[in-house]
Amino acid sequence: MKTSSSPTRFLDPAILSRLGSLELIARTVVEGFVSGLHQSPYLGFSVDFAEYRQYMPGDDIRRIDWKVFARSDRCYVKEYEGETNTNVYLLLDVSGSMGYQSASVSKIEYASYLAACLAYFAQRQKDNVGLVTFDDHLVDKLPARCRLGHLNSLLHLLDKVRPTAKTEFGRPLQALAETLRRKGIVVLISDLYAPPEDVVQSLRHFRFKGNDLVVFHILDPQERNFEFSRSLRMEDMETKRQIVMVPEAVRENYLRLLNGHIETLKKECGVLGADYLLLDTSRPLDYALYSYLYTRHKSM
Amino acid sequence: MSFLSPLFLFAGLAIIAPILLHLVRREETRKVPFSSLMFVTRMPKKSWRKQKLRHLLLLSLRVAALLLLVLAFARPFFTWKVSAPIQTLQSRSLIVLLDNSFSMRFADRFEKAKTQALQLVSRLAGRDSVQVVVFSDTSQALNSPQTERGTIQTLIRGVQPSYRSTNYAQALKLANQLLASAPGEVREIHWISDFQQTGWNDAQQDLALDEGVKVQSYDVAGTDLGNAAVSRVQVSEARSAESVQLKVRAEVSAFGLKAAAPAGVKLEIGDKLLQQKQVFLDPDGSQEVEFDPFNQPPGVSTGRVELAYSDPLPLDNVFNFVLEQRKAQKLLLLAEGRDRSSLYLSKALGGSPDSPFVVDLQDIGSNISFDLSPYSAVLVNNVAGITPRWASTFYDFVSKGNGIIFLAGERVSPVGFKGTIEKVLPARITAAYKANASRKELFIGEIQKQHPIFKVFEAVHYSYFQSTPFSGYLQCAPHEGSQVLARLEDGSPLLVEAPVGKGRSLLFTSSLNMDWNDLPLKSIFLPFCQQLVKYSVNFEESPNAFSVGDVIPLGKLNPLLGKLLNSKRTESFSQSWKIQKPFGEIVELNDRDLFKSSFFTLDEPGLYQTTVRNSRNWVAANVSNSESDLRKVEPQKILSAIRKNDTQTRSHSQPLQGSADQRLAWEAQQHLWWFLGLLALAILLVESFLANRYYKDTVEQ
Repeated sequence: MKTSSSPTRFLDPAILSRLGSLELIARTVVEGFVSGLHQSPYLGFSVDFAEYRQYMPGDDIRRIDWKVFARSDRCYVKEYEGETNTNVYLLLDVSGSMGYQSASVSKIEYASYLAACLAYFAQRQKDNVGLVTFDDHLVDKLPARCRLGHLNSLLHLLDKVRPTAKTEFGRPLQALAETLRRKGIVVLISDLYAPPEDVVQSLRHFRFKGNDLVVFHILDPQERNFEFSRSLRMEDMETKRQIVMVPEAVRENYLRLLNGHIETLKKECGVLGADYLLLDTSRPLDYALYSYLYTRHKSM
Repeated sequence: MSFLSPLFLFAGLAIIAPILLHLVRREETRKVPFSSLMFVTRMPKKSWRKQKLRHLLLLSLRVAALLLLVLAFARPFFTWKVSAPIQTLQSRSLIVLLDNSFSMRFADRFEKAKTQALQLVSRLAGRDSVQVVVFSDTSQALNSPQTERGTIQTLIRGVQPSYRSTNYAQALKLANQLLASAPGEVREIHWISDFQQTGWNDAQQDLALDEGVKVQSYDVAGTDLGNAAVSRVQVSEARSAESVQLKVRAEVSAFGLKAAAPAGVKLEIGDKLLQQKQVFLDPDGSQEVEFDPFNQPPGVSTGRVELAYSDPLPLDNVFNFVLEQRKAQKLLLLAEGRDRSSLYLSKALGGSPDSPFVVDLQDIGSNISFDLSPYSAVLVNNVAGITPRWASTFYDFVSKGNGIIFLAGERVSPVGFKGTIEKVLPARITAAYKANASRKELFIGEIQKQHPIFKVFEAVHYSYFQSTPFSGYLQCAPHEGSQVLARLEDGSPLLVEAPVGKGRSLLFTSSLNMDWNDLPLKSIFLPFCQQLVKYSVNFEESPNAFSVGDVIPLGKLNPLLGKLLNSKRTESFSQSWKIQKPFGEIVELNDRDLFKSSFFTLDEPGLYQTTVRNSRNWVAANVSNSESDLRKVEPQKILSAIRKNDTQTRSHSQPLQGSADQRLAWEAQQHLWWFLGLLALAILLVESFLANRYYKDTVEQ
């Protein structure tokens, strides 16, 4: 994976210039929208105090209620209702399989770019955007915020993800769904190497709470085409299991199973009301976003 | 192709290795991280590594190189391109058994045989000793065991084909005997022949070669076996009151001709063409050509029957013979009265025009002359008794070298054969046996089959005699010195013989008419009667022709020479006797030769001419008709017969059974392993070049 010290490296101006002409339209307009076409679940800006919550690393220290700190010697930040138009939750799969790279960009890089773009875009829409990274458990969670510094925090979090462990959708996403108190847009960015029923089951929790679901299925071109040649010992990046194989002999079956997997996901997502978009890391990122927003636009 | 170390061929299984390597391609099983093997693990496990051969050219080269190396280590050698070399680590004693029988004159057989023999000798190791044995119906070792190749090759080059027949068993026996005293540790017979089937008789062979004697056969016969020949000529006399005519019958045989063909058969008498006939030769078969009877003046003359047919063996197309008119011998047949009891006998002896006898039938009771000098033999048939005068006459007659035969019958009274006649009779007659209700008929129980009287019946069957019932016979007691030639089943003598002076006396205790048996009605009656008389008079039939290889008394070459030799008059040997052989060679026999050996070997076909005191005589010799039949016996058949006697044999057509030393020599001569190794090396070089290119391509990928 490529690394960079600049957290803004994900915000390619060229990509953003293309995205500037599109609007992210939330499917559900129950809670209204602010400057974008999408609707926020809560109308207008609000400065109404909602609750205190314990300070967490990443929170802007300016949001600490110093009075409470003075009284209790604990750091709490204030939560305000109606702080933004809608919440966008970016769920980023950081399991080991996401580290696969056959071209110039690995899947996790591509997914990070995508997440950053979406976050930036949501920021422009004055939406709260949060980021959750997970593998077989929740790795990092950045609550949805809309403040200026929040994007940097999000980008910083994106920058430090390292794919290692196995993928599991059920437990971490269920736990996440339990903590979401406001409806919003849940964006799942993953290679979805799990049984489709597990993926759908996990998403069903979010859907059950009224969230709008968008699924970005990220695959490497080599995963899609399986164009290996000559006998090789293939190692699973998550389980570390190794299999000696002749790719030519495996390819046909592999592609059949993969396409079946994709078709199943697409079908199940459709049934669930989630938007499914298969992205290939070889394709330009702006194209991927454009395709997605175009799809969303058509569906409105 | 054979292999010196065939077990190395199992190493050929090693070609599995490169095939597996190409399938597995271990050199390319690099570790490739992949996002997830979720889909792969869902497939059947065996499909992960469903192999496909890659780099087929490389694989082919590797397999080829491996196979060539395996072949090279197996040390192959060809056996059909070169003759078997005779090289050994041990010293050998070899017998080169070279067939020079007449059949080897067919086309270029003998030249091929000599070439084969010379090749054998040329490949000998230095310490190998060789004896050359040429054989036909006789076998002759040309040398003692020798190691000098040049000498042996000179001997072989000097061998000429003979005109004699073939006898394989005798040759092999001689070879075996020679090897028994041979110095070599390994003993081998190299048998070069055309393997003519007439040279081998399955029934006669008691051939046993010593253990360890190896026999290798070399067949030089080729495939063309067609031949035609005049296999037999029979000359018979047709006597009439006015003249004696000769009739010639010739048997023409064809063996393995490719197609039936017409041919002319000529009869020449005294170098003059007398008659000519046309025949149509079957591819396999024989037919008789009968020439018209012709008159021939008394004396000896020569003749020949020639078959006008072109084949690679022309010598057997001619059959030479000698014509000699002999006076018929007179026989006196004495009986009582002129009854018909002697009818069968007189007809059997003198009834046919070509019979050598003339029968004078007389009544023993009449007042006839007692001068028996015109007769060669006297037959006393069924008379009651012999008067003393007749008895003494008979005694004198037989003592001078003539024959007498007593024949029994109903009239014979044992009492009548007492007294003086007992000196002439070979047995004392005691009683007469006659079958009746209480006495059964008897059959012949025993015959001396090798006796000249009965030997001629060998070709037919003795059952003609043994199936004849005898209802009567004279019981007798043979004298000392007498020989019983046939007995009845109760042991009683049927035919008794005894020498009397220089002559012979015979007693047939039963009848030769219909009194006591029905022999006169049997086909053997005539030859039996004639054999009886011929034996009694010591009748010698001079054949019209002999076979090449026959050894004849010098008297046969010229009767006068025989008489002179028998007379032992030394003055007769003051001059050398010359024999002109068929091909013009003159053989001079001096006194010493005549004393030393009174026999002469006929070793060429044609006419042998001898002149003694202006008496010129010819003897004809012809190639044995068995030699004209060129059909082959498989060498393996003979070899298998020999093998029964625990002898190691092998045929040239089965060179793979050669000894280890020979195989080693074969292989050493050809060095095929060297070429195979070189080829394998070249292939490996190409393989290396190609493999490097593939490797570079792989690395670049």
